[in-house]
Amino acid sequence: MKIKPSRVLLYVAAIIIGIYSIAPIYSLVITSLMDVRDIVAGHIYPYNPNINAYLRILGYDVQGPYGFLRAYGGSKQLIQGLINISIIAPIVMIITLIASVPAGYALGRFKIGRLRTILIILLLGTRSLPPVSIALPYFFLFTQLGLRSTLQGMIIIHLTITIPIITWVLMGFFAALPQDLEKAARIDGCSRLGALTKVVLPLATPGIAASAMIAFLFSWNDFFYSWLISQGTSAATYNAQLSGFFNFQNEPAMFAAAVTLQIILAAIIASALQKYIAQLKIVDPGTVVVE
Amino acid sequence: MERDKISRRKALSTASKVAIGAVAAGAIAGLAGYSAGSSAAQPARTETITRTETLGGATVRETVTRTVTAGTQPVTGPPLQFVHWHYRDDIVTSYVKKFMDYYGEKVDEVLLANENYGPLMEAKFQAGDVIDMHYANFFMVSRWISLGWDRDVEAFREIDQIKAEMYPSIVEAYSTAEGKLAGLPYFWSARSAPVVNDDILEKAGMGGERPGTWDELWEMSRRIKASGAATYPVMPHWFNAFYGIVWDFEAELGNAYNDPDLTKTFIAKDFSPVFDVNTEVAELLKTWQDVTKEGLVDPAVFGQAGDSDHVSAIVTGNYAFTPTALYYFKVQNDPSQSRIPLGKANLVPVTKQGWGVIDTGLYCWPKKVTDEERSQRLIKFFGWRTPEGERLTATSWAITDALGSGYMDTLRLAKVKAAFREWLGDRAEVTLKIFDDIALTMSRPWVYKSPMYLEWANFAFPVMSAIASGTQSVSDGVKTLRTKLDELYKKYHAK
Amino acid sequence: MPRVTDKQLALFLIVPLILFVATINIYPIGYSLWLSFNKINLVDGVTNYVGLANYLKISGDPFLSNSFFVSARFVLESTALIIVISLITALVLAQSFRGQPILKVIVILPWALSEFAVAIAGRFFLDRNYGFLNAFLKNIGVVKEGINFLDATFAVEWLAIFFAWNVAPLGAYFILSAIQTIPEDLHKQARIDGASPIMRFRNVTFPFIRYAVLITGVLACILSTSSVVISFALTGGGPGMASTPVTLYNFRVFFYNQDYGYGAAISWLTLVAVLFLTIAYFRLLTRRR
Repeated sequence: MKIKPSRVLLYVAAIIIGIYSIAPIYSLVITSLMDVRDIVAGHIYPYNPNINAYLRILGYDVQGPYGFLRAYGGSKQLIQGLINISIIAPIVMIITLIASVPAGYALGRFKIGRLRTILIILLLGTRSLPPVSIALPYFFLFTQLGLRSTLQGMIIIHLTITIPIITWVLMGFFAALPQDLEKAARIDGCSRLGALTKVVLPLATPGIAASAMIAFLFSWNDFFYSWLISQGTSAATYNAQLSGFFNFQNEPAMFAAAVTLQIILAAIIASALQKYIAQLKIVDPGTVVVE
Repeated sequence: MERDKISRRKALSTASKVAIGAVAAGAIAGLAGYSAGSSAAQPARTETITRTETLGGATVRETVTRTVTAGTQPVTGPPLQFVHWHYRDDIVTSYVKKFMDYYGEKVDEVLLANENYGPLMEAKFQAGDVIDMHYANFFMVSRWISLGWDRDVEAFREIDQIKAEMYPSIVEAYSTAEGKLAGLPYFWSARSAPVVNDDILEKAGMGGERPGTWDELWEMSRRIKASGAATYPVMPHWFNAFYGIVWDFEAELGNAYNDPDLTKTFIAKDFSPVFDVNTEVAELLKTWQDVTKEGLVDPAVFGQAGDSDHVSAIVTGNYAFTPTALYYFKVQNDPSQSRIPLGKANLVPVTKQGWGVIDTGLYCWPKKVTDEERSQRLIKFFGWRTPEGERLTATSWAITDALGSGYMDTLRLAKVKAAFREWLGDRAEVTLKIFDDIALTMSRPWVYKSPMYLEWANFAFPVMSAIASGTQSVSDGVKTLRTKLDELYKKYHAK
Repeated sequence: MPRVTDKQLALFLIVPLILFVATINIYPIGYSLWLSFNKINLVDGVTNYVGLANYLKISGDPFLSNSFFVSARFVLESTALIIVISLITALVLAQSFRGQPILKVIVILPWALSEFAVAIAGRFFLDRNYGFLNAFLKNIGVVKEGINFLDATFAVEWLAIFFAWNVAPLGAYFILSAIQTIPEDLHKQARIDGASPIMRFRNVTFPFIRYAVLITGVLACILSTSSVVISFALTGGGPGMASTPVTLYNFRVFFYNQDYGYGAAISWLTLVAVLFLTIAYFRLLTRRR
């Protein structure tokens, strides 16, 4: 059987895309598995691989191949940061869903004409603010409100960003869902919200799962606000603590290990739920006729 | 429909697993934190401590008897707030623990990112945070004393004794323009002290040669580059932070023109700027631009953002000259981190001119503290000595990191001398002499005593980086720097 | 019982959200606006009203105009890269071939990284002495001495490349989701009719993915204009100010120079520009066919 040239092209493209996606991550991971001496020599595969860097950032002294290595002095804060973000991110995800699912449904499904555009612009407009513009005022505001060293403070900040975006995404998603079951339910006398819960939600699971993931990852990965607002406080997130490595003398392995640790959980969630993003059915809500 | 049910179940189960995991982690952490927080009460007692330290294969055993005096019940009241930047955080935490055990105290460590330490501290001050002790470079605390956030330590009971035990030059360097000691010494060292890699020099046929001035250093680099021993002979101290390229500027200016306090070439004693496009400052920056164009300097330096990039570069062993901090010189001699063959990384001796600029660290005393007595006690424990007279931190820093101590007796201690011998071998005497010479001749900018310095330095580093890398002309750059200084002079000193 | 109309229900569900977001932002926005008309002197603690002085300072600031061009370059290049990469990736992922499920998982990985992690990965990738890219090129003999990738000419391009690397997977999935809504018969019909792949793409595929591509572009634009972390952590704005976008410059004015009034003025102008862009895009998106 003759191999079609378009097939070959496809495989070549696939391989290029795969390598391109993974190369920088590979470079980061192998850095985390080597000792400083080997890293600065520039190896492209892990030379004398070991997990010393991971043990050190978790607070253990180790005997490395070139000498005794102390535990990372900030490991206690790093672990606290990991715990903090593990609390903040799921809460942000849950509250975002509770707020955005009904809102996105209303915007995507209801026949409300121009109101839809106005509302979504109002909601998204604030999201367009570059963080830098309001960073320092946020700092002072949160200090005055006593929110700067609290988890609630970080949750609130993240919510002001995730809710508009997820509402917007879900708006398009709900607009594209088939309407028959819903219409049937309404004919049977269901209220709008009743129809939502009984009929639409089960259908909408992929979209909701994808939105949950987007919201979670946004909170998990947030650097700027975490760094500015929570740094140095007991509510400091993992990212805020990571910045301490940024100028740490000559410890690229621990830096890479700390970054990799954060990526691992995010990557697990992303790969488990990626198929749901593909089911979001991004379709122009303006072209969907609502009956 | 069936498939939807299954995928829905899977999605829910994954999501709930994540959520449960997160909540469980949170719960466990909460419990752990709670149980760790409640420490046992310390009764009054006499302690005999036997400390064992291993120095270069020989084990040194020391016995110290101390009385943990009555009254060290666990201290009531909120924990003290100790704010500091990252440097050997593990060692700092061990000192904090010693302090807490000594006095039954509670201390919270607050770590701030190094490259933004100044601005972050100022944001904290403006937000009204309570801080009991914090690190600062001298120019930071002198600024914050002017701005009313910190206070000098003249009010300490034992201040006269403290000053008598310090090096007079350090007392001078760490005092404000009004002559008040701004804080207790954490360390002093020198930055931009040139380190030569004899391995590369030998490859170029110049082994053992030493430059006497910065110009000679560039001249030797030309020869090394021509010989092919190194593509880029110099990795300068030009990383893109206020404590990178700006400090090297102060070092080279003071060294090359024999003007250690920079009052003749840069900023005068009354803090007015005294340079323009026709003076030494412009000459120095022009040299920088030229040597970059010639390829004597690794252009990758302009992408470096801080100490970690700098140190990772200077331990590769690819350069002939790596001006750096004295404590990073030690890292270059550490075979577990450096690829420079042992014994080949050497400080350039002081012959025709001085080298380097002073690197300062103080323990500072803010106005808004948790408790006056407790905060004083904390600062004295770290910055002076224990009640028994032991200089815990100064001695240990000298041993582990070759950080200079503000107190004259530290270097006389046998174990400190032994520690230097351990990593320097038979080069110890020569190197310690160079340390001393550098301490006497390094730049000590008078402008550090002005509150305008930190603001200017934060403005200046991208400008200097642009000039050196050639993306901005020397005259434009010097004019920009001068204009900013005039502005700041008006803001802070013209009354 | 009177039935709640759709409009009322929509308002009930959404207005609280708008209020929540707006309230949290009102103080920072208002304070920032007030700051822009004042000059604060930390030494005396004095605040002076200076009218439009801070705004006028903008026209005379060469650093700001440099940053403006850096931002424009960064946003344009990132957005273009993101659209192109997402499109190609989506088209590839839409086919069925051996290893496609694995590729789908690999493709989403870059998106799982935070902007900071991307910058750090970029550092370790591009370092001249020991970065992976240089080490690889040296190993296969292409170069003998490491290349300084992050020089004044190309630093911005590398920022755009890594930013696109981070954001493109999301766009790829959006477009993929749109591709999967295309009925299979349309493709079959087009193939039977003898249409070339390019014609098939233009007439069959593109109409369905048009909206997803637009959304990707908008998202790319919004994210790249507000990006500050990647320039902060990958190049530090260097060499000099060659890769300092307006956001990073603004941050420095606020934070390092403590010129709060001027910083606020810059951010207001930036905000107005971004809002104009946003409204323009929404006109595009909600345009009736």
